[in-house]
Amino acid sequence: MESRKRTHAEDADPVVTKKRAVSNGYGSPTRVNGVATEVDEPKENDELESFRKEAIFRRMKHYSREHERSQHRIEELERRRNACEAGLSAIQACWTQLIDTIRLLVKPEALSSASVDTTGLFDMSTHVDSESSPELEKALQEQMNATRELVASFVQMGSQTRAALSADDMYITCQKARTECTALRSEVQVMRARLEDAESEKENYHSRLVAAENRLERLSSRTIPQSDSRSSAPPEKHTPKEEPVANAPSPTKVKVEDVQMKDESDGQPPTAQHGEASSPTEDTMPNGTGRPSAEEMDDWREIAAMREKEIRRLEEEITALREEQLALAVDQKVPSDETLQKMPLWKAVYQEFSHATWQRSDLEEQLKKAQEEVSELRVKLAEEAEKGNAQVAKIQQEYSNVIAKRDADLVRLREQRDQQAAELSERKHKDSERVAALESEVKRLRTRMAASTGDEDLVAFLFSDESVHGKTYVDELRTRLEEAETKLSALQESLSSLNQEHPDVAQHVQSEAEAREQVAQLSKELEKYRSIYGDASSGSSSDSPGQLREKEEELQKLRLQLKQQTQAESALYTEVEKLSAAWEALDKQVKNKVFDLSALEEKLSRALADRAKIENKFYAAMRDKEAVEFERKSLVRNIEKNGKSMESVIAAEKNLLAQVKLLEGEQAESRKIVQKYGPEIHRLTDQLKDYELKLEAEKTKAAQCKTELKQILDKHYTQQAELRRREEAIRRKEKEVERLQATAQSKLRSLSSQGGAKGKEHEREEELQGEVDKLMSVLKCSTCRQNMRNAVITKCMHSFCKQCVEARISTRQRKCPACNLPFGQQDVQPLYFQ
Amino acid sequence: MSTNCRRRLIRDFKRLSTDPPSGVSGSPCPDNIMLWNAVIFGPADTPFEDGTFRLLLTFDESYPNKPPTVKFLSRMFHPNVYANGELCLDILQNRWSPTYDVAAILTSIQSLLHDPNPNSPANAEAAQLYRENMKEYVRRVKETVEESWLDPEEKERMKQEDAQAASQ
Repeated sequence: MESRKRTHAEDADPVVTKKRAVSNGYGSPTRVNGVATEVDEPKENDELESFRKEAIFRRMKHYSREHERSQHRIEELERRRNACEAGLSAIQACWTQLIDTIRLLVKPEALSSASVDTTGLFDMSTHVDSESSPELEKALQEQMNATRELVASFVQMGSQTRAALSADDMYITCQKARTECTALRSEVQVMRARLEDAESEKENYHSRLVAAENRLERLSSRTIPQSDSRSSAPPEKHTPKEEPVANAPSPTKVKVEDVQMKDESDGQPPTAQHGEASSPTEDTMPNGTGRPSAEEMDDWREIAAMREKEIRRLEEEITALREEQLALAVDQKVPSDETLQKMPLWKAVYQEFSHATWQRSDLEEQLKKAQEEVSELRVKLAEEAEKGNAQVAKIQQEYSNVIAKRDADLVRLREQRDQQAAELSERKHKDSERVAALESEVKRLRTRMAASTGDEDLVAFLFSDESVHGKTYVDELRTRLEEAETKLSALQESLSSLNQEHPDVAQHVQSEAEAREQVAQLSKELEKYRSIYGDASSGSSSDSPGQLREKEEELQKLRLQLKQQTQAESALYTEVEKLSAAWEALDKQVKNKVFDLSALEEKLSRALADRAKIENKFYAAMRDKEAVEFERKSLVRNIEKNGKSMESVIAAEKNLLAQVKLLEGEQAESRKIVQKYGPEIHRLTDQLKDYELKLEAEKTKAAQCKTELKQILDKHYTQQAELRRREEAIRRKEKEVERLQATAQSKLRSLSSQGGAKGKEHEREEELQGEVDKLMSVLKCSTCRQNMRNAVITKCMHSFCKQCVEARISTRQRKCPACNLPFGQQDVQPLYFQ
Repeated sequence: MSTNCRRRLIRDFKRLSTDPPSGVSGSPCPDNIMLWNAVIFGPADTPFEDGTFRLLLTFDESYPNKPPTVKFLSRMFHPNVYANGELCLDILQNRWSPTYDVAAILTSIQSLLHDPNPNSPANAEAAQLYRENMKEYVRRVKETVEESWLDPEEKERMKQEDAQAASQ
């Protein structure tokens, strides 16, 4: 179906439309009348059908144009692809050449396994289509790696043979190349962005072009104005005269489209062109009628020339601006070294580098300082530790000496005390023994004395009770006396009682008692005498002198004995005295000893106090010692800490050293990279040259395009000018027509006043009828458009017919049909036209 | 039988034929005045340009106090038109006023075509594309425009041809 339609479109393009327009131009008036008067149904369908056909035809044309455009684009892309392939092959050739030269220069055995297969690339690129571009990229990557290895090995060998290749030069060249590379990259990015912009702009223009084309087609079609403006009084007059005008731009449009295809990249010209191109199409809408007269043509031409001049001026301005833009672009593309140095990126990198070096030196200085400090600290620490140890040892020694001395003193004093105590007890023991001995001697002597005196009782007494002395003895005697007296008294009592009872007897007894007393006295005297003189009764007077002598002798003996005894007694007294003196002496001695002892004890207490003092001192010393120990420990800990910090410092130093090494390695690597990138940069510069060549080719092409564009624009301008001229002519004509109409009407009036033609009157009648209809529509109800307005809603003052308002009320839709304001039954009032 | 409604419809038709608005046309069925066929031409410089969209208007006796039922007969791709052709337009629902006539209805629908309201979507896909992917929206609309040029029987025939081509 599509092909069928398209063939129709192609051959029918310029001719058929014209024919149709002409035929329509003649046929239309009857039709318009028919529309107004005849039955609508068949007519409507016909129109719809023709509109549809036109629409399909226009759409087909649109598609064919799109197709053409696409074909163009495909061709161009094909061409470009060919160019790219050619460039690729050139690069390939260069590459192989480079590798061959390297191979020639380097001994084959020196090269490692960097085998390069260059032949495959071009083949691949010829086969590869756009979809499988990753493959191509991969191949390129492999190629690049292999070549890079090869070149790197080559460069290494070169550097082995002549190491004098100064690194600075290399570095500078590398830096240059790198900056160039970055500049190129940024340029590429800028170009890409611009390309994107241009593409979007192109898209935009394309859509606008399509829209403009469609509009043109619509204008050139016949059915649309019909459907659009059937109501406007004379639509048929426009179509025939519009056709030639509307047909004229179509070929230029096609050319413009071509130009746009070529000028995709520069954005400016299409806008200007299009802006101007769109204005005439808009202007064609309200087409005038008639042709300008010969007199007015000159005026129009002058105006056109003026406008053309203005257009030219604007164009020149545009070209100047474009040149300026190009110059700026060139400036931007080839930046000088200064500009590169001014680049913020370079500056930033340089600053960073300097900052890093400065930091490194700073860190090294810090490291040195730290090391010195650490060694100083170590020395100081060792000295201090020694000093502290010595002091501690000294103090310890001193205190231990003092303690030992004190201990010795204490021991000595204790021994002394024990000795003295022992002596004292010994002495006490001895004295008591002696006293006991003396006492026993005294007792013995007393008993002897008693014996010598012949007092048996006393002796017995003395024997019975050794401890009781003379006093008790006297007491005993007294008790005996008392007993005897009591006995005596008892006897006297009994005697007296007897006396009382028997005075005779008592007298007798008394006399007897006296007698007995006398007897007793006498017996006593007798006894006495007998004891002196012996038993006178039994003894003879002869024996008595002998006995007397014996007794005398014995008495003598006894007296001697007594003397001797007294002498012995005196001797004993002296002895006793002596003993008492000795005792006293001993006592004194004991007292002295006691004094000594108390003195010793005092000394001892003093010594104890001393000892306590010394012990206090000792404890203080111990405490001091502990403090010193603690200090020592803290010092030791400090030492350890310092050692740790030293270790950490040493570790940091090591780290820094490692970093320095690493940085050096990095530097070496970067140098290597620089060496590596050298050839790549060369390659890039080559590419850049290639691109520049291409750019120039593109520029020439663009220049060609521009010239073409200019030609087309010129044509366009001329056409536009013509168009304007015509338009203005049409306006003129319209005015003229109006003028003529006015004159005609005045003539007509004059004629009618004179009783003129009836046909004119008929026309006038019709006019008047129309006016009446309009006024009637104002007076009639806007809801049913049938009855006159005869009710008003007083709330909003909108008026309708009574039936309609009642219908609103009865259907419970109590809102004004015009303004939707709710109203009540009481708001409706009758309306009178009076 | 000429009720208010019918008289009003006849007046509407008269007005539509004497003073037709641009880009719309409509006429009642020959046998039933309560059923109207209408055509809206797609407005120029919009995606609907050149389309000829057919509509069916059904009036009842309460017209003009109640709005008619309007339905597209052509397939439409528009945010405010349902898949069955019914459309979502305020003046055909709660904003209806008896002062509107057929010409006003058709002109409103025409203006709705190039000025859709995606906030009350009847076709969610169309609304989404209108908001987010204008290009695709235009493409889909153009499809419907091209489809609108075909008569229903022609469309059927084409479908059959397509099916045959597919089977071959």
